[in-house]
Amino acid sequence: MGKLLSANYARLRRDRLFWGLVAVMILLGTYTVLHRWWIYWDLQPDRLPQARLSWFELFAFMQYIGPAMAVLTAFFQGTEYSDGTLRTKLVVGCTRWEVYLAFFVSVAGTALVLAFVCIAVVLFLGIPLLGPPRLENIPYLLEGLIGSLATCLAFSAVFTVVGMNCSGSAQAAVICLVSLIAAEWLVNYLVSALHAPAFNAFRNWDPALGIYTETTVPNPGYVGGLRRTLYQFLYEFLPSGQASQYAAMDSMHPSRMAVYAVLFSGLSTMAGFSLFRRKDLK
Amino acid sequence: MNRLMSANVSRLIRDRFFWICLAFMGLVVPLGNGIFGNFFYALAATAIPAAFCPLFLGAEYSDGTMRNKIAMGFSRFTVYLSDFTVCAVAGLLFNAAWLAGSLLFHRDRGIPVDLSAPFLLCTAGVCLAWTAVFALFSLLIQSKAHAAVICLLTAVVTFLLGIQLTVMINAGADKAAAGTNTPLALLRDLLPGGQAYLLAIGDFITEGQLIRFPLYSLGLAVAVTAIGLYLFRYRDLK
Repeated sequence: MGKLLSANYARLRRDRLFWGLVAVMILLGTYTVLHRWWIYWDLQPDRLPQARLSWFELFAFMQYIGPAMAVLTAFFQGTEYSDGTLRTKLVVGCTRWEVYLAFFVSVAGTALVLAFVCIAVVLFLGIPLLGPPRLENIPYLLEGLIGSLATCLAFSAVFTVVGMNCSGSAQAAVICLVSLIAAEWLVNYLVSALHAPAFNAFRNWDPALGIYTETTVPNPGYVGGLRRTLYQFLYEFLPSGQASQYAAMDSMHPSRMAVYAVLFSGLSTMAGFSLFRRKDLK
Repeated sequence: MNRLMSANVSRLIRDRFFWICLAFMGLVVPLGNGIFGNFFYALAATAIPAAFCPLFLGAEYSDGTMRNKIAMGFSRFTVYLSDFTVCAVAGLLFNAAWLAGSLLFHRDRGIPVDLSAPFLLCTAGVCLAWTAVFALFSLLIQSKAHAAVICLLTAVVTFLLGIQLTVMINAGADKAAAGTNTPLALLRDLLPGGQAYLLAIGDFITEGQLIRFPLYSLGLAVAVTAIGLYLFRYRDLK
């Protein structure tokens, strides 16, 4: 297992795509901080000394970690199938579980590295330019950090399922990206459904009294009851939903989402491995 | 050219992924439209050709078919054109499947604008424009996986760009009419993603736009194909 991991690590170190994504994360962190600083400088320069680094900058990487991991996982599996490397690994004596786990751990490690790179750049640039985060916010930020890292784990798990079971990186890439697009779109729909207000208020001009009166009517588009619970659960269970919550600071329960993320990883890994175990490797 | 076309078409008919995409566009997307709204169509019309084209055309590189075609004496011009045409046909078939499915499932609603000739032309135009772009990527990039990733990411980014431009246009314009004539609006109308988004929501389309969209799409398709033909001539095919 150790040898598998070091082989994966050696491959990653020379992988152009990995370093390209690291560069993207550095640029993203830089852009986020500079953009926030420029907004302050342009619109509220007198408030700049009291500015603080906030959630939005720290968790900016969450918007892009999904597509980044989809692309990376699809290409990391690379030519292992067609070159016969996978078969060689099994012939040499590694079990299927070891191969699968080594792949998952490598991919998850990559996700964590990308996340840390972005966070480090944000902290390195953000604290001098914007000031450190407020002291009372720090526990919440730490909770969010653990949760977002768990979400990265969940992304890695689900893309590992595709990467290990597809016998070609083109197929894996298409499936990863298309399912990511579908998930993002679904999360979009869930967000708009959950944010529909319960009541709509209408202002009516009463000419007799000469004043505005307000009537509130229930919104027929409001999602309630069992459907709301289901939507809320999906929003918090899907990694795309979690990523969207961290990126937009919509999350009220980072610790609950962390548990969901770990659960999701476990379920994906079990499903992925049960498929991989029976896969006929030519 | 005829032989190339018939070879491509017979490969298309036997391609399992083609039938999966066709079934998806014809069955899943109209049903999704009913539950989730017309936005689903726009995304599917963008993502399905982006998934299909690179896999279909990229197989020619991995199987060595492309090299055989060139070795047999077909000009690069003919090869590119026949490949693009078969992808365009596939894209139009996906579109037709969606229309047929929509008619079947939603006689009373579903399609945001009337099933009139301008709207049909617009959706066909979007299809053609997208196919031209994806065919260019798929035929110039010799790795199926890289082409697939680039096509899908381009599709998503262009679509999001279309949405963002629409938001910016609507936020900035005081009068609705002025909003459709700015340079931003021109960019949004040129992008197939922007057109797809407008066709999906159906709210902000004026008469003039319905006529201009197919022309823009046709122009884009012709321009992109011309660039692709030029680049393909000098591409070193391994």
